[in-house]
Amino acid sequence: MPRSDDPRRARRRARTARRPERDFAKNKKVVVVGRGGLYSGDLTSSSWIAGGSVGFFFTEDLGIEASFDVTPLTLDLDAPIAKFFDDSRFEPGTAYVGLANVVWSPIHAKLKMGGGIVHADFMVFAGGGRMFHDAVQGLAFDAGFALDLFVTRWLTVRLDMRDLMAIQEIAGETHYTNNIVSTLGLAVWIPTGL
Amino acid sequence: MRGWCVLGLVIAATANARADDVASVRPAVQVAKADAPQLRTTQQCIDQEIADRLAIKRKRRGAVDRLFVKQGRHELSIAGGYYASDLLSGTYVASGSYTYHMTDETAVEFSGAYTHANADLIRALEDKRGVVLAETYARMLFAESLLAWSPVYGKLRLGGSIVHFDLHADIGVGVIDSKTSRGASGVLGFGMRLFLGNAVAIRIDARNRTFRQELLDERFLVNDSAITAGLSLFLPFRN
Repeated sequence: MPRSDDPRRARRRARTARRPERDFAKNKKVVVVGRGGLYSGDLTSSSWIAGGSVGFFFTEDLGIEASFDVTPLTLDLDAPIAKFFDDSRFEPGTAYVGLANVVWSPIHAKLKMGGGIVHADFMVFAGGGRMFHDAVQGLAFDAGFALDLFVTRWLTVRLDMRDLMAIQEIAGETHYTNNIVSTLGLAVWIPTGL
Repeated sequence: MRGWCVLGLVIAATANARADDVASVRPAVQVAKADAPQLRTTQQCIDQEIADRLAIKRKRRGAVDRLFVKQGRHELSIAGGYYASDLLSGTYVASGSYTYHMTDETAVEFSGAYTHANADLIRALEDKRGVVLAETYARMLFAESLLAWSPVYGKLRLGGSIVHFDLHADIGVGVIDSKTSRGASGVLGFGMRLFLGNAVAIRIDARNRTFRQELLDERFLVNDSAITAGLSLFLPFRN
């Protein structure tokens, strides 16, 4: 029997066409994320961080995002140092972090959680922006990775971890700092109809 | 008359014997039928070559729950990474651990880590003022015991191949030995194992340690974070 006439092959082709590789498609969708977590400062003290981002995926694997976060910038060592030297060298305040990133999602995964199967994506991102605070100079850069768990057709749970690199000046000393930011958030995916 | 009775008796005896014979033969026939191979519908109706192909397809569909089984195995790990100190500056950290997996989802871990205090700010102030405030490079040793829970097992496509992995959450307590801190700590973390083969895994962990630290005559409750990557070896080498 010629290969083109084999009914078994025809049935297999039809099954493959009906079954998409991924249950959740990110292509041409806008994603709005709300998140919060821990800011582990290199020179400054650790604190909370909260914020969100808006992103757009051009393809299933590549997208961009713009984010805005808020964190209090404090220095626990300032009090004992000020007591010793009789002068204060740091003014605590709120830092505002504005970043733009390129997001690449090369890895799709399936997880067994409880009794069910959950789809997930591993993403890596990198970009730059600015950390607005008197103690921070120049541009800030970030790089990190995230795990998106697709819990419904339009909502995902996102865990992400990034290294926020910035030049900080504290107590007259200028240092290049690596600040670790870990957040947990919820992402809503909005189709654009494109 | 007597002759007829005898004939009747002979006929009756013969009939009984034949009935016994038939009765004894019937189970034998049934046994013989039972012994004979029962032909399945596929064998009755379809060619043997097609039947073999269908059998192979049935075997292929059988699902194996997990290719990598951790239950009852011992895990030895070494890792290194970045230690973000709350009070001081960030630096490197090196760690090693032994984990016993009681089940595929629960494990007990004993770990140790080494890092050092990195007091950039204090060092800078000391240089400026010509005074020594504190030892700015004091070593820090951690010893911890944790409970690990791995509720998530998954597969991902990396390049052209399928890689199995799991995600775990850890909670535990430990002790710290350092000039700036000597006491107990609480540990919280999460991580991921990427399984390579039957006995090796790449392990990525993020941990937060909460403890009391003393510097410049003041005591602080600090949250130090660490992110490490390393290799794990599972014993025995096979599932």
